[in-house]
Amino acid sequence: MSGETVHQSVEATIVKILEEWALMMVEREGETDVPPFDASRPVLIAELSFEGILHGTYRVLAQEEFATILTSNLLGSGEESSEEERADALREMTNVISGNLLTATFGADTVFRLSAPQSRTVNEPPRVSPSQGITFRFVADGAPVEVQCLVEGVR
Amino acid sequence: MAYRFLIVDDSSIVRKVVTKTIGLANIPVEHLLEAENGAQALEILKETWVDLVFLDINMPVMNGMEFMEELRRSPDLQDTPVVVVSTEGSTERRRRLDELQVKAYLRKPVTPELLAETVTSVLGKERTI
Repeated sequence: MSGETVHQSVEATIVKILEEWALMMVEREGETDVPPFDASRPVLIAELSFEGILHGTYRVLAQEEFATILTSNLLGSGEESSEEERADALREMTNVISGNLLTATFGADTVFRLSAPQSRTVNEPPRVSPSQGITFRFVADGAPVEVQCLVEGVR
Repeated sequence: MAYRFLIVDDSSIVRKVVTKTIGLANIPVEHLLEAENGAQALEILKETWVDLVFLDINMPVMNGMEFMEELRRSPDLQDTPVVVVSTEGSTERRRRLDELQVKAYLRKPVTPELLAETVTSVLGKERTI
């Protein structure tokens, strides 16, 4: 696959998961202006590493608004979620996105080992340079969300 | 007849979603047990008989593959039916899970309809044995 095809395939996979699993209305960067994260509030990061023919990290970044909607959609309830539930929901979304992206990118015959997803809160989200990987940005149900795909080495 | 299920996943959100889905599918439930990893699940199974285990693969402490290996080595637990619900989709891993005699492999994200259909299918088969 060409670089552009891989890019489109990865983006389409993320959109599908946000729409069909997280039950969100999604707009891609380019279709809409994705606003930056609110600098006055923390950013929640969930990430996991993968290792196989190459190794790297998938990272999902969002703020409380996105995580609250995600949690509510997954649980199917309008009840207020806890901070831990929101972090758990974002970790699971990272898990689902990572497994599907690896298969979409490398095919089902390629085996990768995935770490268990971890989450943390930061005030300043990490940036990814083009030499490190690719960042995909979306607006989902009105809230910005970012997926960072980092390749750290080739076996 | 009501069934006993064990849901093994490190995500409490996923355990709640699976629980809810079982309810939506109108499957009679006697008891729903939960474990955060394979090691906890084995401890529960040593004490409690269940009709079906829902198993994630990517978990800390003891992952789903390690759990399956242990389960099939245990004379008392080796026949426990397991349905894998995971994000990992490699053919090699699925082949290994087939060798370990999982009843079904569901790739996340799983729709409630598919989960319900799988449970009905597996429990239906179990009932006829």
